[in-house]
Amino acid sequence: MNDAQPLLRARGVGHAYGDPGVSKHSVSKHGVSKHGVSKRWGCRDVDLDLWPGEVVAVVGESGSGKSTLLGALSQRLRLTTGSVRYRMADGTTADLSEISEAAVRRLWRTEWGYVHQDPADGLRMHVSAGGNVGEPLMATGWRHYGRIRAAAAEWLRRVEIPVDRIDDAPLTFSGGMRQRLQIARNLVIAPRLVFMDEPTSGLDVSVQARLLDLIRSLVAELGLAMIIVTHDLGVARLISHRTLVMKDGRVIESGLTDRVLDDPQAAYTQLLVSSILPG
Amino acid sequence: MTAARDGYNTGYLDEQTKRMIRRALLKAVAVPGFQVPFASREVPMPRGWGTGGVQVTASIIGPDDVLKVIDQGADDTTNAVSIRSFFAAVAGVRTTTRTDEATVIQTRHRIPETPLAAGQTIVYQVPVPEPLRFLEPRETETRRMHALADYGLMYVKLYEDIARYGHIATTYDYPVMVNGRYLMAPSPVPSFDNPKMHRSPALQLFGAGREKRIYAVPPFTDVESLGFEDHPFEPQRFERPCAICGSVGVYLDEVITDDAGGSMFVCSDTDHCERAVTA
Repeated sequence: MNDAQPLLRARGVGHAYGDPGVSKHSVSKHGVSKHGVSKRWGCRDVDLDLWPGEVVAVVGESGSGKSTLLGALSQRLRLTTGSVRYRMADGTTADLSEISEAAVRRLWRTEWGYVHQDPADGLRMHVSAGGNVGEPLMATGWRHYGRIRAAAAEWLRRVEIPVDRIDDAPLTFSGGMRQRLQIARNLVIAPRLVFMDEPTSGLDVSVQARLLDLIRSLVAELGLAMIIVTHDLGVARLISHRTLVMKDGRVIESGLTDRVLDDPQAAYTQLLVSSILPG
Repeated sequence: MTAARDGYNTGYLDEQTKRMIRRALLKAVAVPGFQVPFASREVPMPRGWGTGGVQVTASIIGPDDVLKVIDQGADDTTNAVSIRSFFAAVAGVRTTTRTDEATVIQTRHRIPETPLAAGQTIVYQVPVPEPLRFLEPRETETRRMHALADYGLMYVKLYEDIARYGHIATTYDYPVMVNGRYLMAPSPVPSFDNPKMHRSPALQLFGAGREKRIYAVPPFTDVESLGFEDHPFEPQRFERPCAICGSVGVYLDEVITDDAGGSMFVCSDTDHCERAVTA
């Protein structure tokens, strides 16, 4: 593997909501189209290099464009501006907005994971836990029931879900178990890159701590690269190597996590850091 | 042969409609297993009672054809009798109950026990043409899955069956892969009949009137029932012979004979049963 190149290289990435897309109407500099419909930039001008095995946290307040950035990088949202280049498992590099939809889906099936904030978005709530973890395997051509089930059981064990719950639907699981199940479903294909959108919010503090511990150990064990969006600086501190701070859709500060949190340069980051409640 | 009833175009539908349906049929035959949308018309029966099959039959039937209509394998049920007399009246065709004499067979739920021959056409009445419908409710998404041959989800259904019942418990509308490319719902035929579709010498046409879809399996096309390596597809089996004609290896219906819980198992294919008795 050539590690001299980043896994993901984003340049000038921006996504505008209300964007007519490939329309003929050009958009003026002020974000107002000729027809007067204003575009709202979810995020813009974001540059990011993500290296193999690296964990990058994106922090910022609600509405700062964190999730939009994650969507744009992962091709869930179309890029309005900029480009995202990704180095595939075979070593070739592709511009994600130029490859076909089938190729993007193949990436999702074989190389990427996406953990949603709400597990109901990432799981099939009425399908058993084993079926949820087995689905990505079946999508990549696994056709042996016994082996699929064994792999699912192994992953339930790794995310600390009792294996005797393998035939229960996530509908019957607690919030923390659902989130762990979603993580298992994403990691079972041994992805190279995982996107996580606020994986711990909505869970109570002790469950959060265990989940973060689990994510951290799995990431280290599997050598995953990860982009994790969070509003919680504690989460960033605990699991990320680098941190981007976003405000109003732009990255206002970035650097090693410890540097950003201990010696914040931008006024907004200073505010953010100083508003952590004393524990 | 009798002349078609005055005031009706041959086959009830107008010529433009028949042409439109034939175009859809040609496309369906050219892309085996692919669901072709068509502009389903009103016919003098409620949607859900086989309007798709009636429209397909109306578009392909000619004065030299001999029509057989079965409902659950029987020629003498209400729907079968009325569709047969409908086409006798509006298309002036000869009708029969004998499988080997028919050129066009319209069916709901069964494929006749008598093997179909080259030159015969079997028309299925289909309620839900989309095999993925109950797993993925969005039509936009299922179409995309067909386009990209992204069929992992179908195996989740089979996985759930095995996890819950120890074997694949789907006994009708058992999903099939046509020509190694398109996943297809074989209409609600019992899985007992699935093997008859594989490389059948007859032309198989499927019409879903309410859902406005037509699809087809041309003669001698591979129709493979899905399964796992360690849990392969197994058609239903019947241990006992028919109580009337003594045939074995045929599909049986349970017929209640009294109010004391008494019942007998008889052929669902009435034509086969009659001929086996007299033979």
